[in-house]
Amino acid sequence: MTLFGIWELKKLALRNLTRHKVKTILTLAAIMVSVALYIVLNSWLGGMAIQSRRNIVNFEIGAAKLQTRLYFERKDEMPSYETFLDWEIFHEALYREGYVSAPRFVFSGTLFSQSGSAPILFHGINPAAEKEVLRYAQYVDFGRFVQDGNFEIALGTVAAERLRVGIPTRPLRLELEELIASVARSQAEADFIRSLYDITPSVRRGGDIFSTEERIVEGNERMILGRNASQADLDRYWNIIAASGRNDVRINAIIDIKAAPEMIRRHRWENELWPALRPEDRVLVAAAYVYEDFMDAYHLVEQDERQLNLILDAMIRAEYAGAIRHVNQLMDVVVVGVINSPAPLPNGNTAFIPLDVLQDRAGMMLEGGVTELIIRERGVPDSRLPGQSESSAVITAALELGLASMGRTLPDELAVFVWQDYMQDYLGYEALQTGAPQVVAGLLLFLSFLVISCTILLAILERTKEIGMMRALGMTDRQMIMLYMLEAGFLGFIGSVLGIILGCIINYPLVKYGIDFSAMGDLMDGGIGFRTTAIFRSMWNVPIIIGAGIAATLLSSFMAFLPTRRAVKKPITDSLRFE
Amino acid sequence: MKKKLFFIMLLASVASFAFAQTPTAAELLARVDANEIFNTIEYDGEMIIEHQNRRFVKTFRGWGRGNADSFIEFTNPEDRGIRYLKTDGRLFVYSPDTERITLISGHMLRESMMGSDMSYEDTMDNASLASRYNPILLGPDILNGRPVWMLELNAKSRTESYPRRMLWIDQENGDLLRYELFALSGAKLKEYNLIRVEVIDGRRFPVEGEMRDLLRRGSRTTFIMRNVVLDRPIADSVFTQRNLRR
Repeated sequence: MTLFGIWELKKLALRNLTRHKVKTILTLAAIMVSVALYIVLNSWLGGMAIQSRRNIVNFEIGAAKLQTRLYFERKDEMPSYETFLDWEIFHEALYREGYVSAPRFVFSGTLFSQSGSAPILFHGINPAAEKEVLRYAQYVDFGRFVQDGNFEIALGTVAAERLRVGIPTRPLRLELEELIASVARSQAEADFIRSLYDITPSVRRGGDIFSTEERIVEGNERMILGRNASQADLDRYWNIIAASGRNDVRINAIIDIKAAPEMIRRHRWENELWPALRPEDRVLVAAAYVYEDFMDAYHLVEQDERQLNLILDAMIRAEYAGAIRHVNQLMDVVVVGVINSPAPLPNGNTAFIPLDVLQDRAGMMLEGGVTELIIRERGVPDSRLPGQSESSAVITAALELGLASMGRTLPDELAVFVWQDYMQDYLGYEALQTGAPQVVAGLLLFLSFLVISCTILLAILERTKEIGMMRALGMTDRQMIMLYMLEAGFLGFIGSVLGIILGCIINYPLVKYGIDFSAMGDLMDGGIGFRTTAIFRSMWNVPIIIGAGIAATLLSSFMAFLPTRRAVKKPITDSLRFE
Repeated sequence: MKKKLFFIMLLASVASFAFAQTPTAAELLARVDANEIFNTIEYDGEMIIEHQNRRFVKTFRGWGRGNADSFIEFTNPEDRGIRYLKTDGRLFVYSPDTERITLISGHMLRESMMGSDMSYEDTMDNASLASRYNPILLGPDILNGRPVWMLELNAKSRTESYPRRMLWIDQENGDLLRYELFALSGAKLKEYNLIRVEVIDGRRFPVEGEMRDLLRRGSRTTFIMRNVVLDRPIADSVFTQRNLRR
């Protein structure tokens, strides 16, 4: 069939569309809504996924981490005993090759305030280096970020609210009055604190569960920290609270220390340690211990530091409990700031403490050890997700090059792991969350194609006589099929164009302004699955938008093929006699 | 003048007698360790936990062999059937709800045992204090009206769970009346006070004591032991995982 022939059929197809206007409009509407929905949903989920990934990189992990291989193997347990020394050398080597990095010591513990306690994930950080890699330090709601040399912490807003430290943003009236009674040193200060809050009456349903009458219980009025409170007022308020000791907290943590056991009882050696050791590690461990008859135990004889480290690694891999010792620690610290960033992790049960105060017996006895060095390419914009230049291989090569220029080598036990390696759970969740709604939208799209198929089928049934007549006049079967496919294709095309326009109109405010989910994030303990807490923005996914239009047009056209082919297989005489 | 000289001589003799009677820190610590030594023990226990203005009473039956092996089974209705086994330096718990045995290890050791003021790790110390700490005798003191020796213990190893302890030992009978446990930073974490001692088979044995975890505000746990039987042979099968699951 020539192009001219198709052009002629096009006129006929378009004319056919106008024969049943209502049917055509309804079919167009179905396609339009389906395409628009698919575009909006895809852009919305894509936007959330991109934003979450940016937040993970910019607020949680960086592009990659330098860690010991053993730490990475056991990362879910957060083995704080798996530290490495000389982070400054790796930091310098990376900097020479165009990467910024920040050391961290991550440990878990319990934070005790005057009003309660909460399990907290602590990050020992170098504030200056941390700010070069991650961005959460810019989001200190109240107070300030931590500074070197001080026993102080910056606390996530969720933990701060839970432990009632810092400035409460939405206290009940009674809670606020209790706070004022405990912190205000004069009537002027009490009045000043009250002046910072607006009253928003909270509602509580009275009577039985079927009652719709609402009443305010005295004292439970919700007070909201005024948005128009100046920074100077907030600083003054913070200082009043800090002076009262309300921000003084205690960290109870366990220092995990790797130490090769001096003695292992035979029973434990035979039943617990030996069977769990890897075959290649058995030789190593067996050479380090000697059995003593009179004690019925194995005694450590190995003195070499490097060998002892290898033995310890073997024991830890074997999950031998005797290789890790636990020392109780209690640190008095002050909360100097509350973090409320766009990412849920720094806002949750998380605290940041200067690394330098954790070095000795007053801290976590680190003696220079850190659990990780987080890495990002220098000068890269926050909007850019890590690419090839921030892959494990490229960063490792750069690190080795930098170390070589300093006359050093990268120790075997250290390796670079990229952010995806730590986020497998999240990425699985993201795939599920973005995939499932798209499947639903895709099904909706498919339903609209079935509608097209039905429309064409009905049209063919209605025009059976007409088809017979056209075929009797010399129109070929291919021309007939092409005619109806064009008709359906036009339906799909017009519906797609309208759907794209509608989708873009809906998507525009979602991209420009987004939807504020922060209140929902508070309800769900700082996160709603995706790694973002504040405003969810959609995105412009141009290939998907255009692709959805093209796919809808082609699929619509294809849906007409089968019913038309069936119609043209009927003998012409039967078609002409069809009633 | 004679009177004065007599008085000085009297003082000197009393002082020298008292000095001669002062035990060394190592002797005192050896005495504390010796008090803890028994071959086997069987008892009915009660744990009274007071926390956040609530009171929980847990009862159990306990068996022990030296410091290394112990087995306890809870008998109060809420916890009936929960069993703990400590053997070979490992602590296992059996839960009748899940019918599973769990090894308590790693960070789980920090957790409070059955909501009490003791952590699982507190129950895991096997070796004698003398082998783990360097003692310093701080001198005599009075505790609840009784003359005591105050002993400070500093850990020999940097990996000791409580790097410092303070002990108050009764001067007359050697009872460990009180001890305090400190964190690495020097902050006090826990304190124990002896409430009652019984003489069992000619030995003074602490049967009631109170532990306070100072980080848990207003919390204390009282341990009471009744029907204590010392040094009666206990079958090996008691301290086995099979006994946990029976």
